[in-house]
Amino acid sequence: MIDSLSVLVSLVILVVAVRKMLTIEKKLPYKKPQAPNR
Amino acid sequence: MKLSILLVLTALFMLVNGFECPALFYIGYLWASVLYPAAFSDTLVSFSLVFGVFAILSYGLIDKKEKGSFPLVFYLAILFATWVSFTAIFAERPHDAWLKWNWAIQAILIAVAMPIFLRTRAQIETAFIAVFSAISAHVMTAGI
Repeated sequence: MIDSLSVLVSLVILVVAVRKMLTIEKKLPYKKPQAPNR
Repeated sequence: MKLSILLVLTALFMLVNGFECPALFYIGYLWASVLYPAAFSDTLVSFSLVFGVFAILSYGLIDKKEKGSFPLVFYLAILFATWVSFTAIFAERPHDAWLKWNWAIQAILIAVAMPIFLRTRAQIETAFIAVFSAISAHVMTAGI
């Protein structure tokens, strides 16, 4: 029987990787770095 | 039960984002077929089936601007799929041969579809991470 914790860890890794890919491909709204306050 | 909910939520996340980036349907199919969620959770529908159908339907949505030539392995895999089917037709024991053909052809078709659906470096890397995270779920169980 598979352990729930290991599935949870793998799901988190997957979701983070997919979000990273979408950011790289500019499919997610990209937050523009703000200019420093002078 | 909690595990099933988490799995469904993750699959929904992939499915919804798949409409933004169709490669995610294919990555989801890879993920579901390696993780094999039906073995340890009760989901109403087979994830592989859903992702597979959406991946085929999404072929029309793929951005085909960068049309490169397919690698040699793509054609070799098609040749291999033809060869596997051909030998199954003329098998000495057809029943056993078709049973094996059923899972063998799926694995070969995944390999054939890979250069069609994965277009950019980021997508290829995500496919790697998806497969390794699915394997790690099984491997970590043995380790814990």
